[in-house]
Amino acid sequence: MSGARLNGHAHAARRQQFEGLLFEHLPVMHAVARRLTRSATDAEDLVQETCLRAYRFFDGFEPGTNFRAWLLRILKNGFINAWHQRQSSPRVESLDLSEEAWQHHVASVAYSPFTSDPESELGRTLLREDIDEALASLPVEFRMVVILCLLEGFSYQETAEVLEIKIGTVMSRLHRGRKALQARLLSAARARGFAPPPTEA
Amino acid sequence: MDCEGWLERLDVVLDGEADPALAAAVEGHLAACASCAERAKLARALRSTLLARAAVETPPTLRGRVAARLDAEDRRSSRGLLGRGILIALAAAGLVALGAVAPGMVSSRPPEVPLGNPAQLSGMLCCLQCQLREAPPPRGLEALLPPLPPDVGAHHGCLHLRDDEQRYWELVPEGPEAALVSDHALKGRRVVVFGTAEPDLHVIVVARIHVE
Repeated sequence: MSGARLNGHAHAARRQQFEGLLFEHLPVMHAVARRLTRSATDAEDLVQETCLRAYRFFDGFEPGTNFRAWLLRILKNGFINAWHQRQSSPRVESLDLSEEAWQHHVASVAYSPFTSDPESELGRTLLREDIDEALASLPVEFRMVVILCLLEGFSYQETAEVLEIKIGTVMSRLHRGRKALQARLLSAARARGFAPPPTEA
Repeated sequence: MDCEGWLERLDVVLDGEADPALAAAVEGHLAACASCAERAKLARALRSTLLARAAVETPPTLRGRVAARLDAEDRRSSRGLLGRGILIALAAAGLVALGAVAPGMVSSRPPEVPLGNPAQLSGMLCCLQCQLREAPPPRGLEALLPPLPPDVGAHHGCLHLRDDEQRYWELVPEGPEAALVSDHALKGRRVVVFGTAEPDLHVIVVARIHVE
């Protein structure tokens, strides 16, 4: 009986310890889940599922290592297993990430007569949907890196830990993902009237 | 270094990953090169617009819901500590102890029916939260399921127990192999449930549902 009571105490302590680590990371987990699933309901399901798995696996977490990266790794795996394969996601090959495509794009915007204040101009023209669309257009490998590094401000190192890839891979995916994202956003902004078309030299 | 190279490094600076020497070198180039300065302005503008527009608010109820989910998990695993496993779970679900045996129920004590490695099934099955969402019969599943009486029509789908989630967690056994966890009537349907917890704890439940 005392054994059972001890178990109960140990259980409560474990729960308390887990929650103490978990709760501060819920916002970032939710933000990443929301951006991956593009649905409020799915995002919440994914976060809940992740928390539950993390709780069951908590004994496997090595104290002193990065808890946030560990949580997001579970979230990433959950997304890949449960959501990603149900969604139609752009394939890597579908994205024209070639240097030429990008060069062509930047050439068309680099010397066009920008407004003196592109920031507020872009802020006025680009909508939330444009950003969602642009993100969704990225193949999931690139999207994850862009979401973590660019939107959530994770370091390259932590992103590598979450995604279980090399830091060099993080950097190259971020580079190309960012270019593709910028290109999409600029063309969306242009479609909404930002920056007049380039003048012929 | 060409201008593309500088702009690439500017991204690294803006990512907060550059050392001060690199950051200073990038700034030096931008001060000297008008076209890079222009594109840098655009890059910064895109970045800040992206951050401002893409902000996501955390639902205020999320934390409470997560805690409730953990509560359910605690109750589930403390029952496990009692060492009576599924039988207790079924009793708690009212299927055994109260004599409230549903008409379609064929066995009060579910036999452990190994169904093979659930990893083979993963991804082909929905979880419980889908509420009878029609799913195509998972390929290969048929071979893994034990034979059912001929009068039971086979219909694969998910069993929604969200409003009864406690029972759901109690019914699903731990372990690497799927097991028959119940065979009972529910809302006019005969429901045969197989459950497992995958190694990564994605719980799968397969229901064969016979509509009377």
